[in-house]
Amino acid sequence: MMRLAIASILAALISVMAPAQARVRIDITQANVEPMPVAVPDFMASDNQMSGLGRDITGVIMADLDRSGLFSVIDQRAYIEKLSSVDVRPRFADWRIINAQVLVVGEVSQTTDGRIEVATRVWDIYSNEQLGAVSFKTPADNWRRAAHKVADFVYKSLTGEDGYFDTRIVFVHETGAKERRSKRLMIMDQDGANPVLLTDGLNYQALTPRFSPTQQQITYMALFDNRPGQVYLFNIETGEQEQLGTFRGMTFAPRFTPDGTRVLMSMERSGNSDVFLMELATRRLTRLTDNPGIDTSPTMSPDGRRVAFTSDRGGAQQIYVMNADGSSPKRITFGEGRYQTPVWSPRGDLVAFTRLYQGRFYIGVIRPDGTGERLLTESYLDEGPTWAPNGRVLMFFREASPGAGPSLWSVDLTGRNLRRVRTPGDSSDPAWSPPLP
Amino acid sequence: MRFGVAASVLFHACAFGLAFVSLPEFLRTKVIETEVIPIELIAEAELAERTSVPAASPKPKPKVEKPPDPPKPEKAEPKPAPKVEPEPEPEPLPEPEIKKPEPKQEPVKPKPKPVEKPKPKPADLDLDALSALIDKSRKDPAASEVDSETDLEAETARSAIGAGDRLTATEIDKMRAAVSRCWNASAIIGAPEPEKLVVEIDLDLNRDGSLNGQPRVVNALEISLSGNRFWKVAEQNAVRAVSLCAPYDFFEPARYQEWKAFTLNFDPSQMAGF
Repeated sequence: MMRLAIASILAALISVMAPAQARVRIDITQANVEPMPVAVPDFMASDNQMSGLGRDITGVIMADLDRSGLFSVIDQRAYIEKLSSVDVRPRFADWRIINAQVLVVGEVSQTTDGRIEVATRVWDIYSNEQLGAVSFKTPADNWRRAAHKVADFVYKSLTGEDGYFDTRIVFVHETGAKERRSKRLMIMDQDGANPVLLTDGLNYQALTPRFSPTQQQITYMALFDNRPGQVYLFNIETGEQEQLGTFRGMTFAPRFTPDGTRVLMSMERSGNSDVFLMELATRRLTRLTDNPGIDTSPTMSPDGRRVAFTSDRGGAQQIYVMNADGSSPKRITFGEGRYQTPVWSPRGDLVAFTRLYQGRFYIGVIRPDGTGERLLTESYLDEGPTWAPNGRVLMFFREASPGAGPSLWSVDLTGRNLRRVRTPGDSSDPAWSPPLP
Repeated sequence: MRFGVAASVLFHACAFGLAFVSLPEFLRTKVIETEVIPIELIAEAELAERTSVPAASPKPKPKVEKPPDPPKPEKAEPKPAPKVEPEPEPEPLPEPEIKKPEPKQEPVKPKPKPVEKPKPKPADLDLDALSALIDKSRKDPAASEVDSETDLEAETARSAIGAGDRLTATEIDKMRAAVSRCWNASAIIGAPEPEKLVVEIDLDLNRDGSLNGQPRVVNALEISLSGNRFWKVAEQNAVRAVSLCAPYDFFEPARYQEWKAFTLNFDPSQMAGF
């Protein structure tokens, strides 16, 4: 009996192996990186009022997907099938004909408590399978966020990565003549909608805003006419702000730690700048570097173990990485020119930076061990990179030529999909928020 | 004593003389005579003929050709998929199938010619031709299954003689280029450690180049056990690429045995540097 079993197992193995040998094996190592064609018909609705909302929500979703550079939304006029319900299986052949690879179907309805419900299904046209379904309930006037949430869901279904559409950007809004420039903090949705000024800019300039990774809170540097600049903490929800400690020297280049409970910053004492860490709860200050060179722009790794910063201790400005307690600093950039403004990716795998070389500015990324440096953008002035919360997209500001006003731009981690971000007027120093709660 | 000295001098003189003559021979670098292997330039046309030789034997085809009708049942497999009532897809599928069988019948025409040739050849040609005749004399239509089996065996036996990679480099390149074009990796190359997101897919083709059944992900278990959502997306993208590119109708139908089954290894490692 045992022998029979073994023999049958062997026979089965042989029969499985035999056809395997007859297969032609080919390595596919090249792919296209064109945006994936996606069809997004207008979200269906129960009545006329809802159908208008359905169209608006669809428009926001389409714009989000298109802006990501990973998807191209097919013109709605090409669609063949008219869907009647989000719960009906689509006719895949109709969508294949127009070369759609993915179909996003949705429906908007009013709930009994007066809110709206946005239901969505994502279909894979070639495997005839549903990739996912989701539904959100929200007050009707919050429909834009619902649309961003849907776009985030589609993005995650198709990339495996969390979306970044339901986020906000805080940046420096610049107005006035060059010699009397007013710099105020402004916040807007990541797609440029709902811009709101946060500071009045009457007696100080607001610079280098940085978002807390865990709360709707900002830290920035306020630059005064009659006293040294100081680091401030700003609560977006309440509008309250407070100075982070009182120091004789200037404090600048603040940045939250990944857990949001501390702030890294530079402090100038007797003409020398070093990196410090402040506990927000106790305001206790810890010195991390003690070097005659200028140490600044600290940024902590997502695991909280290391800190990258800029220093000119070796001559020109370069990027260094040290342990979170300030020990074992190691230089990680060795290229020509100057490296500055390191920003650790929320994913932890890369550090973004600005490089100045032969009069041109570049935004680049490098692994924390100093390998794999890649430059993503180049212009007369590219500065202030900030990561999308999923670590896939970078935003920065650019002055295309001498005297040109600054504007915000975004670029994919791969260096593709460079786009200008819509803002009201001149803008600089963007900071990306974490996903909204 | 004098004799001893003289003998010694004479002996040494001989030894030196011998060394003087033979040593250079030892020090000289030996020239190894190499066999000159002639290299023959093979004309492209001739090469094409050669590569298509195994499948070219027309006799098996006529028999296999009629079996091609059986493939229809194979294609009927996709029909089960259509079971999903709302999808009209099944209909489009059968249509191309119906159309393609016709082109196949065209090749049947060339075959009749070979069939004529075998008649004069019977003396030269042995088993295959004879068995063909015998088979026909017995049961023409009904024996189709048996025919196809024996033919396939014969065909595999023949092709086994020169086994190895039997697709030409050009054919492999065509396949690679087609799949590469349909493989959208824009989502993968921005993922962390994209070089690890390798997906291996087995696919079988029908004679008209359409997919015979659903592509199978060889390392599906490894992917799902890894819990890596980027790998899952890479898997979906690879399957989509294979489906999107079908039909692979650029292969020569006569060489179906060579291209009916593939294993495609989707490896984004070379794109990891963007």
